[in-house]
Amino acid sequence: MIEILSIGDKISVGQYLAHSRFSKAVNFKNGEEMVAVVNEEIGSGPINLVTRGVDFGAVDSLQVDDYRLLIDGNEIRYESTIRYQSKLEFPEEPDPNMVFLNLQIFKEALVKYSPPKSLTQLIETSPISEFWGSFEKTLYLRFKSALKLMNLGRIREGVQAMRGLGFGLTPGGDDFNAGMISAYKAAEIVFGRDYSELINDIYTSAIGGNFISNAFLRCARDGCFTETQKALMIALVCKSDEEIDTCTRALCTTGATSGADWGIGVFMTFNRI
Amino acid sequence: MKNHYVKGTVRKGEYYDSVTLMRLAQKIGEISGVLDSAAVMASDSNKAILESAGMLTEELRDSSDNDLIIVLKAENQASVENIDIDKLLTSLKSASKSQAVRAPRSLDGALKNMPDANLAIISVAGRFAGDEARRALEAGLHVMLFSDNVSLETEIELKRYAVAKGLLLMGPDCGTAIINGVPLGFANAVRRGDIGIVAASGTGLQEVSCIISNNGAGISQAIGTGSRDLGSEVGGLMFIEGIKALSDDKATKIILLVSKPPALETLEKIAPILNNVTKPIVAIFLGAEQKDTDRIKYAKSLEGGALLAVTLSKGETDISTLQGDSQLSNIARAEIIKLKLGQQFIRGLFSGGTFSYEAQVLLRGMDDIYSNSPIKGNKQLDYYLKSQKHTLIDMGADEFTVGRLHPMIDFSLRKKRMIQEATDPETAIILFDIVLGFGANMNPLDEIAPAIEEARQVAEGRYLSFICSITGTDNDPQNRSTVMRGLKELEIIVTESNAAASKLARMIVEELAGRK
Repeated sequence: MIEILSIGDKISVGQYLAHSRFSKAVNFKNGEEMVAVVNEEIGSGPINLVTRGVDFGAVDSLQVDDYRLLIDGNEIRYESTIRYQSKLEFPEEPDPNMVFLNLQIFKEALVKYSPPKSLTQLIETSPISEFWGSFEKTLYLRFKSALKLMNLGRIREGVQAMRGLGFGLTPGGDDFNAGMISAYKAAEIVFGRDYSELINDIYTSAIGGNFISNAFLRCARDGCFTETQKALMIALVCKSDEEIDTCTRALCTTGATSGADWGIGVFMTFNRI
Repeated sequence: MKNHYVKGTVRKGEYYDSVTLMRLAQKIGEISGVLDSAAVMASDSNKAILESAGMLTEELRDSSDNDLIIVLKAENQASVENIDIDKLLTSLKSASKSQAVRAPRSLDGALKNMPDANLAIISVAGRFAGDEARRALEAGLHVMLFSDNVSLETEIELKRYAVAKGLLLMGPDCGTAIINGVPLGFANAVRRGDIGIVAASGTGLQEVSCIISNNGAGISQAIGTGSRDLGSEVGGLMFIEGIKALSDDKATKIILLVSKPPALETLEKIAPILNNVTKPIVAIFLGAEQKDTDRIKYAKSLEGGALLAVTLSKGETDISTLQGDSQLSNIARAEIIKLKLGQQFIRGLFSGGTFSYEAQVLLRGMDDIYSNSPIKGNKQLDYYLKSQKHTLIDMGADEFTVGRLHPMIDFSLRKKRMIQEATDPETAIILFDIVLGFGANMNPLDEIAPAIEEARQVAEGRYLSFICSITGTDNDPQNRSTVMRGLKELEIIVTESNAAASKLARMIVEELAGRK
């Protein structure tokens, strides 16, 4: 029996077809819209449909209606109460100073938990000999120069240089850019500043031809966070060292390197603000 | 400059994570004759890098962001003609599931790799296991002792030492545990929640944790103690420590105890500990008759206890069963019509001792029940490989597992026995279980289907009632729903629990007896 545990608040009504398949998730596509059907381990997110009982190896079609889903033709009704709210809200008044105090702890946790060859290499200098083949070596140097552009204030150029850079379904550069946008969205709440123009600039420079990266970038632009990302942001602003460590660890288990790459984008951005 | 051979392929609709692609590129690069390689998504940035390395072929130029490109540079074409990318990808996918960073060869080595560790899992030959467990306890680690064939004296000594150090020693022969949400050994992917379990039975622990999870509640911790813990010699040393740990655990709101009946003197030691616990307790001491108190409720089956714990967890009052008597009775009536006169016996082939034990408890009162490990009132089989009348076999017992993998993994003896039972014209029901989860057989359907088919063939036209219970969840790697659907397609009756399967078998044979 298929059970729906949570449905993201950014999921749009429509008919979707399977796009890419993994052991714990299947990404569905409808034009530019995406829904990730995932298990509990992955957890809730703005475009995540958290399920039990779905055979990820076989599921092919998804129809989303109001209060009803059809997964491979099987109708499942759901209550509005399981709608996941992806907007970032802090349980208490955020203390802007806390973020800066916590950044070092976050950095250490990222170094500790990031998988090898994620963008952690940007905050922890790696000898070039650790990289394999000319592609990896050049990639590392390109990441470095993209970051340099950003640090020089040439944000748009840096974001464009990051775009599409890296391995995997969502290249590390795209995850980094999404992390940057998310950090500015969080910073708007924490510092009470308006970063909307900058966010829009980053978003338009970051958007490319990768369907999944684009879906994640849209979520970031709209201030939507997965539950893992949200927990980390809350920990950074108003929780203990231990919470930051735990949340970073959870983040770094997202995807192969995606979670860590997003985290590096967040860290670098707060570090620059 | 020497001209190198560059070969690139574009793969549309294939998606892999970054780690897999990096390892693929490296693996290609390790092949003799290959000078360089890359496997990446075809974004403009990535293509620009390839171009600068002289590895962007015309074919790759036309690829788009959502395509995967695999490219290699070689000394010459002949040296790389036979590279099979698909085969490399397949090997990477299977390797990634079991890859360890660097497998340590000793406890000291493991502690160097992971100095913050506070639990050691020990699975070495029984004669070495005691020493390793002692070392781990001395290093301040809790221990899950998976190994069997550890002497009773060693078990007592280790457990006393663990108690003195304030540590847990789970085992020996502890097959399963769930600590802080991490399944250890043969465990299932269950929900996290507020029910804490202490169990002196591995399959019992798996069954209750899965029923709890499948019914909307979850597990905080599940502590296995090893099956001898509640005997008079060990005196429940770890059962008591487990209860105390759950009593102190903030995440645990309800405590569930699972075991065969403890020795009387052990029960006397446990009773005052239980009386000091302020949390609600559900106890399943299979086959024992105990009276409920305000805080301690006793259940007669694994299913009953698990559902009672779920009810308490949810703050509800109505306790249900997974499959009510009327539903089972309807199935039973449909089955007896298909069975011929003379078919009258149950043949139970269980992968876990607790399932065999529970079935015997639930069939209590029926005549002529035999087993290789009979409960009081039942009879010892003359020979464990030959059934007599109603036979309920623990196929995880030593006589079946010497030199073999556990029957949760290796189905071969159960399959043979199924076929053997089918040749007996008096066999009416073949009762069995399938346990899913980590460490268990990954393809139970593929294993069992040919045996069922052959059993039906050798039965020469006699219908056989196959009844199977599944212990598992939809988040287990095998996916419970998929296995259940497959079994139903094979026309096997699938029940929600071992208790339901046993009750159904009893209903069928009692109806058959009435038909004579």
